[in-house]
Amino acid sequence: MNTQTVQAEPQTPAAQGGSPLRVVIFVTLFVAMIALCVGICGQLYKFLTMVAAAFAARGGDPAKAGEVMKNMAWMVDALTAATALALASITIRRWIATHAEQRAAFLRTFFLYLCLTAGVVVVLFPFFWMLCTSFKPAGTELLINTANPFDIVPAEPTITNFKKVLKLDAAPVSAEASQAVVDPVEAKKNFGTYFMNSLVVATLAAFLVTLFASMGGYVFAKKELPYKQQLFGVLMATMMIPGMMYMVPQFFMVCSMGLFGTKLAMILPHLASVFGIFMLKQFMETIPSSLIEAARIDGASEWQIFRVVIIPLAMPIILTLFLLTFLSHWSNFLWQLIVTDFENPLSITLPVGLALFRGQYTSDLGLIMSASCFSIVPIVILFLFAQRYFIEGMTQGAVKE
Amino acid sequence: MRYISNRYLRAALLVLCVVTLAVLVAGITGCNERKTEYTPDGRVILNFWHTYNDTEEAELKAIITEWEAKNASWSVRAVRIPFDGHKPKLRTALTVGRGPDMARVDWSFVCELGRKHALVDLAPFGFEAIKDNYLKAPLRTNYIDGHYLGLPDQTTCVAMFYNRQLFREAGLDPDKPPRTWDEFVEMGKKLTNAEKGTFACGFENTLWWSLPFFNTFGATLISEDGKKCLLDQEPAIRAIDFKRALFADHKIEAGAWRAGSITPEQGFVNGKYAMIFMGPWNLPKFTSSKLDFGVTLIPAGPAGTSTNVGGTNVVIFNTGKFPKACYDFLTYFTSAEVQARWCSKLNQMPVNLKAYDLVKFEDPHLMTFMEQMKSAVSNPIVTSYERLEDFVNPEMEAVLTGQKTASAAMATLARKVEKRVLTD
Amino acid sequence: MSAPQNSRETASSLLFLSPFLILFSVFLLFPILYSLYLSFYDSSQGFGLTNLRWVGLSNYFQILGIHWEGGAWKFNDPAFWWSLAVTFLYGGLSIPLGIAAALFLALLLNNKLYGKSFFRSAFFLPNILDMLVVGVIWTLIYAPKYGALAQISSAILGPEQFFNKVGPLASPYTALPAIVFAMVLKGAGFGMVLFLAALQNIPEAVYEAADIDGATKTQQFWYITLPLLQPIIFFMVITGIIGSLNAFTEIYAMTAGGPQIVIGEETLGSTSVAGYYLYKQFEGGRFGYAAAISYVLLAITLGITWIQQRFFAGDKR
Repeated sequence: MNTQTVQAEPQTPAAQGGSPLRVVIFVTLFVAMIALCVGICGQLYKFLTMVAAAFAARGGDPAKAGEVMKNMAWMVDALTAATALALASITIRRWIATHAEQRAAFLRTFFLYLCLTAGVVVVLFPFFWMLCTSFKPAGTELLINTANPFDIVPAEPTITNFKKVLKLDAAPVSAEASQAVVDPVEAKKNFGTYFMNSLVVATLAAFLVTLFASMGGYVFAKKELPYKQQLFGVLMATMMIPGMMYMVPQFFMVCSMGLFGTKLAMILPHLASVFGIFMLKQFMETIPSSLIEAARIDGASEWQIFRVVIIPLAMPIILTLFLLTFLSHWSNFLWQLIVTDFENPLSITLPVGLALFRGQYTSDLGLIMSASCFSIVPIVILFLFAQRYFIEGMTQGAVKE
Repeated sequence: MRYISNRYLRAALLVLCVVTLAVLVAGITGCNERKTEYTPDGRVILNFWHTYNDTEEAELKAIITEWEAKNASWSVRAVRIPFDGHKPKLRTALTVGRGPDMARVDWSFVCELGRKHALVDLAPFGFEAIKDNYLKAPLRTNYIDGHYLGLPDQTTCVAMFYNRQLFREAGLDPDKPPRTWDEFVEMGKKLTNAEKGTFACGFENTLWWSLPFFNTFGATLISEDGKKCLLDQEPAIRAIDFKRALFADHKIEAGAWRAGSITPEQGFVNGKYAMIFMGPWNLPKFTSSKLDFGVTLIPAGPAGTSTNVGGTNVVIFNTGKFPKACYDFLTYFTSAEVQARWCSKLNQMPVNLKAYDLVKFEDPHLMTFMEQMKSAVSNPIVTSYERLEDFVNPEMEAVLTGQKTASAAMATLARKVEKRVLTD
Repeated sequence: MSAPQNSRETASSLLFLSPFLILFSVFLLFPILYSLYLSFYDSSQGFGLTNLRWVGLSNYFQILGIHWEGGAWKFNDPAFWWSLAVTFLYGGLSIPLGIAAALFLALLLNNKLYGKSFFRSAFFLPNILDMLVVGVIWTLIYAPKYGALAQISSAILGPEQFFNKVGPLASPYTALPAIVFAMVLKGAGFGMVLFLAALQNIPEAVYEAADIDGATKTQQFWYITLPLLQPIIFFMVITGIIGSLNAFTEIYAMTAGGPQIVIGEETLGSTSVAGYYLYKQFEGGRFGYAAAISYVLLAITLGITWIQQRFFAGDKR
């Protein structure tokens, strides 16, 4: 963008045509942007002050935390104003700096950014809502802020919900009960154990499923096998049958193998993933066969071709499959419930543990949401870690012939 | 079929068949029978699967210790399973023969377990003698085809909660909530202000939440022998029509039964609904939200006041080897003194009638619930309660939305229930 | 190809495929065959597999048959056929919309855009949220009067309109589209990632050649991009169909079968899809009946696929 020629441009008659319309559009978009910015920043900064306040009020007292938040309210407003101002000045400066001919393109990009941001807001709203609700004290989760229903950050937050999930606040026990011998197995029945169990199950399952599915997908996509098409058809047909139909026979088999209550039982029946094979086959078909031919001519063995040529190229999809499998095992309640041996609670995984935690009549939304937060956080971390490879894998760009 | 000429293919197919066959053979021989387990001091371990929460479980463990002190040969192992999912867990465990000796189950599950021949009849142990100690309505949920197959361990019912603040604002006396349905409608009209968004009441539409309506109008749903559905009789039609009128004619019901609208609990906490049906499990939540509310009996219809029954029962499985010991434990667990202690500590209603005199509550609202419990009527007993709701709920919704008249809906419903639900 | 080469190739193929195949036949094939076996029995007499009662094809008659009642032929199980129709509608709405949304996002974010990796991650994130939580949250968004949607629409259109008074989930005609919308937003990120990965595999040279030939952007899209994305689109269609057939959690969380609609004499749930209906049978402990339903569904799907292959797939590679 040449800033020197800026002042001269608007004077020329050529630029006058269509310019008022563009200015109008610009102003509309500008107003929309400021509104969006104020809304988003307001909530985000308020959220940050809320988290700080909730942790500052050690005992989990909502009223005290509310005080802290009120004191910090001026900071929120100031920061919001500052951000909005900064954004406004950048936009206006950019607008003035663009040539008249490029203004249409500028408006298009501007509009695109606004839509994308609005889209991100809509799409991430559930996460935000979930985080906010987990800070709400019991009994207030459903209270609607009648003044401004969009302001969902709680004014009097507490971290009691999180502490309860981690069992950091002891439930009141009767005198007789506390005199009973503390069972070492029972003491292990806590969030940490559930978490580790789930982590082991999900990681192992994801790794094995991805390995077997990529090997199988490679065969269907690029290799020769008699009756390959028919076999694939059969596999596809089995995908149409809902998973709950398999549950009882699989449980029966797992039981008779003596694996009842083990982590192996939780993953074994699901290691053959037809969905995985299907996804990898479709993607591997887009890899040019010439590469494989070239490697063969160079004298590489089958496994070497697979390892050196196919896997790196299919890495984004392999990672996606890993993530999805991890996710499905991380939150697979029903099967893990059936297989868990509750008489030996060391094998309990996270979704089952969280269900144990939700008593019969507690529809305590704040508690459930904070439990869900714990469940989601590892996935988000895993995703943020993996998506760097997504980007790398994707920007590898065109395959060199 | 073409001759499979490829050597490798044939070999692979052979290996596959052998492996699969081996696994199948292992599978068909089935899971081994559970061996009896013993504690280090030689007591037999009885497995008790329960669904209590933390505080209740602590109390349970204390009671177990007491009971074990009274005898030398038995020990109870309390195994906690999640309430959401205890049904599939029990079903699959029983299918492969890995069920417990006894369990605490939802009241509606006893019928299914009983009809599938999984439970032990309590009569040989002398249940006749003590059965009248138990509250009638919860006990009735254990009476399957002429046998008592379990006993109640925890019960709740539903009463009417009302918002005293809203009563005051409408010019009504907060200490005089409606006693009959006519009073309810009258006061309701004063309490409703559609523009402000406050309504006199908000009700759920499921069968269980509608049972107070059926009961106060004197309608039974299933005949005594369990073969006929009586929903097409006069009292049931009047009950359902009254519920519809609250929403459609008098416009005092908020439509809380519609998907996505504010639930009765939510609306009550936010001061949108003046009166709701609710059980005692929400008392702590309502109290902590600083709401000025009261609890009263369900308004009386032609059959007086009445309510439904919730809660759980404890059952003994016939795959266990020591039913008599289980019976001893369970009757001790629900005996008057133990119940009195349990209920006072945990603020719950006793299932043992003799405990009512021994129990002292701090929360005065619980006394209202105890009073309401006296007029409770047993819920319909069917093999699959979920299935019953699957048929009844949609028809009731059709009536509420005005798509069908009450009599037409109930007529088709009764036939359908008879054909599809009662034949299981 | 010479014979030794062929058998060597087959051997290595089998080796690669063997772990999957063994696990498949043990843990998937056997249960499938067992379910087929189960569909000829009635499981209501007791738990345990020795208490099954042979009923032959009676389960199938119950699903597929018709009977004479009250002067007209009626379905034995109208709820099943209705759930098929609803599933068809659900799939017909969500599959095209899902693919379009994912493709749109992928194309958008394939360009040089500042912060595109942030946007890509942000749009993929909802995919990892638990379905139940998503259902609950969308229910709150759709709620009349106090939901986010009601608030926004009141600000624009005034208080006396549909979203404010009734809400999308309470009307039988809008409940299904509302659920579809929520699910498309949730799942678009997944398709977006697939499309992005595949788009990267298309060499720049192809587009440059097209530019030289004078093709417009739209023409390039239709004739170059779309055909090369065909495997992914096919994948999304198939998984979309399977997803529609098995859809259950979102229905359970948002509408529990949906607002009722009365057709003829039958009261039917407007969001009761096949997966939800199947779950209801399962919940009632009627395994044999549920197995029969899943096989009927399978047969119908296979039938549709066969018809599509035979008559519509012209250039299937």
